[in-house]
Amino acid sequence: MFNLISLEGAQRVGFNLVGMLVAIEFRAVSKTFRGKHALRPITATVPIGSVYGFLGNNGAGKTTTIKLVLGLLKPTAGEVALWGKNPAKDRQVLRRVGCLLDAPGLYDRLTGRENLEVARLAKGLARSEVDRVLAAVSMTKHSSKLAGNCSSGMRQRLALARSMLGSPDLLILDEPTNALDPEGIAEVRETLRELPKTVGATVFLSSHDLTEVEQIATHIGILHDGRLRATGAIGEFAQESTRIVVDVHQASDAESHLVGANFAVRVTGPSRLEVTVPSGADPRVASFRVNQVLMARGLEVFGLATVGASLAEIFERLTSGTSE
Amino acid sequence: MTSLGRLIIAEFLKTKRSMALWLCLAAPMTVGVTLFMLVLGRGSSIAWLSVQSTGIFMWSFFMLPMSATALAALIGQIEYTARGWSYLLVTPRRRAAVFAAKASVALALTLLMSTVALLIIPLAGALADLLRVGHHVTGQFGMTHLLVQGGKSVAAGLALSVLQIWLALRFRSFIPALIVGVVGTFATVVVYASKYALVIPWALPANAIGADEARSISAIVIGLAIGIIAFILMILDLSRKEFP
Repeated sequence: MFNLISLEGAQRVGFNLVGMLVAIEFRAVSKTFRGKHALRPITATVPIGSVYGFLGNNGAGKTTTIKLVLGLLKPTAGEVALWGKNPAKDRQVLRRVGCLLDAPGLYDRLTGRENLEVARLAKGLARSEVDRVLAAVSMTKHSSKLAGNCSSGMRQRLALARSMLGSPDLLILDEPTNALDPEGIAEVRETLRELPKTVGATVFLSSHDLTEVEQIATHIGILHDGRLRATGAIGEFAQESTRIVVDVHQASDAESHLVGANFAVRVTGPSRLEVTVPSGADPRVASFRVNQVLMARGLEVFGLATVGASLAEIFERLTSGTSE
Repeated sequence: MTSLGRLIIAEFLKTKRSMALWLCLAAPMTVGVTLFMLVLGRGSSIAWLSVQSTGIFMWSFFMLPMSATALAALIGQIEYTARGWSYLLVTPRRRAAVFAAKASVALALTLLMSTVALLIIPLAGALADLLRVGHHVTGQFGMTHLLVQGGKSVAAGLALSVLQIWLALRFRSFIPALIVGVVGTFATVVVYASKYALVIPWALPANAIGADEARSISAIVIGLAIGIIAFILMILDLSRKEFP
């Protein structure tokens, strides 16, 4: 027995056309400022429940992308959809979104609580929401302090608290540790680490801090010069970039044999080389094949180990190359 | 409560401890102190009607245009300094409602400022009268006259207030709004009594309280008409603008 669901109903809960549960969908979105491309056409999806790390160097187009998602900028071409709806046309969808943008956006002459009260009134939420979010970022006891007198870390936590008002289904955080002192970074990172558990929402986190993203992201997108270089589950990236480190008696001999067997090889020492696991291949099977090739040529193999790439390495690989 | 109502309360809350609120007291006080010195320093008796008219003229001719300029700039800067526009515009509320709420609060504070000025004028006169030796303020204090004149000034001042708010909200810097306000006030000084005064929004409040009844009515009608049209255009323009 099948349950039928209408297209409209499917889009309401966030199904895209390929049947995936999607919080954000970029449909060939691009943005140009005075003829200059800030964002080349982007097509990507952010699955519901994921923590999506949106990586890119300064000026890569991350903030522009976020402003397009929130309907603050109009795309030059394409469309952004939140659970299937365009936020620029259907503002009610923004009820399900909380955000922290490139500046905390706090009013210095208001206390932390009053700042949250302003946002609560604008969103039309219950008074108790302010207490709940203050507690969530451990700011209850500092809530009567003027925002202008708070440390940068406290201000950022207040901004995070504001983004959590109304228990949004999607949290969009733009460089949440940017311009913070080391103490502030530690404070905010601690809050960020707890975030998926605390709010249980889809998190879209833009950053150029790879350590921060590596700790909490389930999916990543890498933006470079306004182009989305790659997007997907973080595990897929790690697998794609897995290498086999081979300790062998004669690395240069081994290299020629492995290249002959269609492996991508890099000699890293007199008796060590790295073999890149082919895209989509099982690293264990590839290791077995490497060993087989070398043994068949009579080369002594002392050790074989598979090593996954760090996010920094993946980022470096995808963003290296000439900038425009 | 309606969503617009909640937005208006939020906008009022943002002015807490702000310079904008202090200005609502400080600007009318300037008129009060000047009027007090004038009455106190005068060597002969003076009628209440004259005290009131002098006070309301000082307010309408110079202080209202300048204070409305400063107030609008301060309200605009609350959002620009905090870089709060983006947060304000990602709420589920319609953009038009967001800007209408902000402009309404700026207009309400301008009205509050004028009301404080109307209260300070008789206080300044009474205090000077108390301290004067020999000469006194004569005649009856005309509350109705003061309220009518104040009402005319406020109504004709709608145009300049809305234009100043529009400029203050539209540009990140307060300089364009300030320049326009200063130039408008200076133009008032130059053309106040000429036929061109009725096309300069900053000159309308002073013309609205003049003795020429026809000119007064024209100033009020023009001030209200420009104010209402400018308000609608401002909301449409700001709703389409991409904010930084």
